[in-house]
Amino acid sequence: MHHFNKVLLVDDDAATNFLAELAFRNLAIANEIQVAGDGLAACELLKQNNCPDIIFLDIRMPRMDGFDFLDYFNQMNVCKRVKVVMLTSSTRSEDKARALSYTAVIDYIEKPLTEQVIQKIADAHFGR
Amino acid sequence: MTGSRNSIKNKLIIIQTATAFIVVLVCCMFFVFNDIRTFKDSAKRKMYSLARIVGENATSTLVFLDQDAATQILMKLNKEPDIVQAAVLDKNGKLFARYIKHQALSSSPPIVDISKPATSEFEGRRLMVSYPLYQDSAFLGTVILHAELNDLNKIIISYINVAGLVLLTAIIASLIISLFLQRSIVYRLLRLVSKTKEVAKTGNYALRVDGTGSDEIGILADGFNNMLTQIEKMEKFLKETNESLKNYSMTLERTNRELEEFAYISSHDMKSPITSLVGILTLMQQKDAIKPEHRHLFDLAFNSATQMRKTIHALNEIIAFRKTLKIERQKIDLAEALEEVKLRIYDLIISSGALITADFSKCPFVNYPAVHLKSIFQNLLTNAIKYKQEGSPPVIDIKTTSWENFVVLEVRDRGLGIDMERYKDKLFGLFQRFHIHTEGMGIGLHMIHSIVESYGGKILIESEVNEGTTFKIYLGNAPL
Repeated sequence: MHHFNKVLLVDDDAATNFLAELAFRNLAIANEIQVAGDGLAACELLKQNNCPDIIFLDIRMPRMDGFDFLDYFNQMNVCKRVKVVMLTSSTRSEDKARALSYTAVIDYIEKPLTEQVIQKIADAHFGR
Repeated sequence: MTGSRNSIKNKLIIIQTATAFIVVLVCCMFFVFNDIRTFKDSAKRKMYSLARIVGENATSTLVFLDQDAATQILMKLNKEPDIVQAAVLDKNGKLFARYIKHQALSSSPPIVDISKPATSEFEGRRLMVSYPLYQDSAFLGTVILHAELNDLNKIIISYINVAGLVLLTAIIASLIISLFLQRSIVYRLLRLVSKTKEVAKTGNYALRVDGTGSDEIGILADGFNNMLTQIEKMEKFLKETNESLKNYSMTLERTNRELEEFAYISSHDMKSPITSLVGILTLMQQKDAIKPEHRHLFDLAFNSATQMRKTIHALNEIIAFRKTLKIERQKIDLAEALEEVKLRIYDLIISSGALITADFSKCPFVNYPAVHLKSIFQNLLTNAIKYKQEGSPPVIDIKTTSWENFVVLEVRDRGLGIDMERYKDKLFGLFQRFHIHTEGMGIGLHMIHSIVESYGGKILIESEVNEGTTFKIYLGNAPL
């Protein structure tokens, strides 16, 4: 299975981040897991140019929401090869369609992030 | 002015009668003058013939100087009623013989230029004819006849009578024709006019003008009918659209009510289990029921539960608040309302050390629902205190001004400010938060915005990050 060098979790809910982190630790497929409380914090991390392989991104967050982050990220011109998975509790189809219209976004999944889901994503988008 | 005020009917009658009158008058004058001239010509010819006959008879009397015979000849002229005087002059122009119808009349001998050939001259209705007499081309004398054409007057009078009669007939005829024309022109026009008035008065676009034709009035009537048809169609269309809009808005209203009900019930039903959950978790915390190695997990669960309880409470608050958006206005003393709100958040003001100044001198009153005005004050004040600059007490300046029919409430703070470039589209969204290190739920501005808009106002925000924010609330100030 693919081994991630670095994973970035972006969510304002600490419990969500904790559960996702736990799933990665149980699978032991990530060297490093970073956590950001909202889009703006994630931007600050990306600006340090220590790019993750994959970002798990929530939509509704204070200060800078998921879509604003994606817009800003497009303009930033850093970490161009990073893949983004939307991790959200929004079941609105327009949110899904909008998210998938960004080239960086490879998947749209509903919370919670489980070990099976991580495996599926790794197989589907990062090869065996 | 009278030209446009006179009815078409009268105008047509005047035009027709005047035309007929002028035409007939010109014709009559032409015939009268022509006939008078003809009469005069024939009178001249007759007098001339008489002069010639008298002259031929009188030639021998001049040769033999027989004055009596000449007078006898002249006397025969008394059979001619028009001749008033007749004379024979000798070759020297001296009176030779004379006839006068009435002795009283001019007895002076007529003076005639004897060198002239035969002449005839009119002087008014008097006609004078002279005829020179010759024998073997030797001039012997002149016959002179004076006639008074008494018939001329009679003829003129009778002509005037006839012309008057003809004019009268023409005027009557033209009047009769006008009356008939009215049926075909004026009557139809008047019908069109009365229909127009009826349509304007009743608003009944189903009316039509009947009896159209192919002339201009017919085209006008057809056009009028076509316009009515168009208007009727449009009116029908408008009515139908209006009806469907009404139905649509009723459906919307019902859906809205159902949604409100749904939101209310679901948030209400979530409220009691989450309250219980938070209560139980609090109890567990107090009882030290958690192993130290599970402390972190427990804290996460506890935070999630309290976050959810706050969200559900906020939802309940919003739903309850939406039901109050139809409260009536009342006259509010802004200073009093502010003092009441300051009392409500007394603890917050004291603990933050907030400095609040207010100037309502320009506009001390507003007609607004008291509960909503206080809600606006409270939300703006608590926001200004919550989002203050780190390390210094919040400074808030409040004032009111008047603009058109609005009372503009201006609240200025020197707090964190809002990045307007980034958030301008989201400022009034529900649960939208622009800062992470404070307690906000993201419902205050949403509520203020709903209030202000539903009472016909608007909100302008000026803000610079780390400089502060100025809210300008345009309160729609309708009379009570």
